[in-house]
Amino acid sequence: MIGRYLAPVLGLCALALASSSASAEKSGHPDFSGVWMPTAIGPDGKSNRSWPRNPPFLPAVKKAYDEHRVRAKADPEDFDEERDCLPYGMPYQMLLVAQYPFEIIQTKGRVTMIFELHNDVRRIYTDGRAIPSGLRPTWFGYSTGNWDGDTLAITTKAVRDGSITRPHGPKLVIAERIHRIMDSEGKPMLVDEMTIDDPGTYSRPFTVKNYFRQHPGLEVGEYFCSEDLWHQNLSGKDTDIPWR
Amino acid sequence: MIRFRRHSLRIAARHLAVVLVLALVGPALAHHSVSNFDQDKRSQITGVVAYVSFTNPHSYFDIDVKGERRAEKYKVFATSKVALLRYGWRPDSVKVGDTISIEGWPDRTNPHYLYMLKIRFADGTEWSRNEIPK
Repeated sequence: MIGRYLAPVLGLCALALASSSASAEKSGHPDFSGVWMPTAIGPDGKSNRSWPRNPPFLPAVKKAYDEHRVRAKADPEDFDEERDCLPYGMPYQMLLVAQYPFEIIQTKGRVTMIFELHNDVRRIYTDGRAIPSGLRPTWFGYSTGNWDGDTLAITTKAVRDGSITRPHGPKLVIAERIHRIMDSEGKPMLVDEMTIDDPGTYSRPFTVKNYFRQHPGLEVGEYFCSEDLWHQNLSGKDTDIPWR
Repeated sequence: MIRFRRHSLRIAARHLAVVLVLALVGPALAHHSVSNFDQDKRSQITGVVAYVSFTNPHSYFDIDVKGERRAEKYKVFATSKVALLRYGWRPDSVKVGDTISIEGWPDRTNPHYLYMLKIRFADGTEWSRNEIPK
């Protein structure tokens, strides 16, 4: 029964993939389509820390950040937003070094990223449109991209603020340059060079990098962060989990 | 001290290619903070599984460890279900009633909480998590 429906669906998927790949080649731009895994190890074999230890916070932001750290240390259950299953959004989903893969689907006028962690989706419009004004901020904001040679240059605005642990404000503009490199073994990696410009939070723009390795054949899994909370409800053990 | 044998062939075999690929990628980082666990220390326990939650964002097990008078209850935290599945685990790799051994980081304030780094399953096979950079 399932096979009856699966065959044509798989056929359509294959057709879509073939046509998307063909259109990327036809356009003359690199095709980043495929499954990519963040890596904490850069192409030089050295450890990569995608976020600085001491970002150039403005003094007032630094004070609030430090106060939060004190509260979080005293009461980690209540002062870590990730424990409430909130998504990562931008820029942090792109800066993650944990081993959760994401898939890039590159089609005409758009690059789509599907992340395993939180089942997040990011849409980057490459059809020449401008970022609309008056947008309501969202976790991933609004991204437009254009090709600068073999580099995909992306601008993201209208990112929702409110993160305590990794603050940014409504003035945030993220400029990314994503390009492909080969490591010392000739294996493809993507590099995302990201410049964070947020004059309401940081004293100056700063640039961070993250690296991804291609993993043909690896499937992006399903990750619903709230499964555990529901399991606690069903089991009646919701008061017995100290870590969330 | 518990000595863990080589990586479980049985667990790894089904996803050997993926495991090898991931081993080359580099160390794994927990996406949620693990700062409440003391990463400079290791604890080992052996006991009987009393409760299993194989879930995202984290899995955890309750384990009864035989004490002098009565069993001591431990809670073991592990990485996400989706990551464990990728490493070759099955939903029933750990079941209530299994006798298992765990090596992990102890919680800074409660020594009965551990973050799982290594496990010996009831059938004697073993699984070890990649080392985690600070």
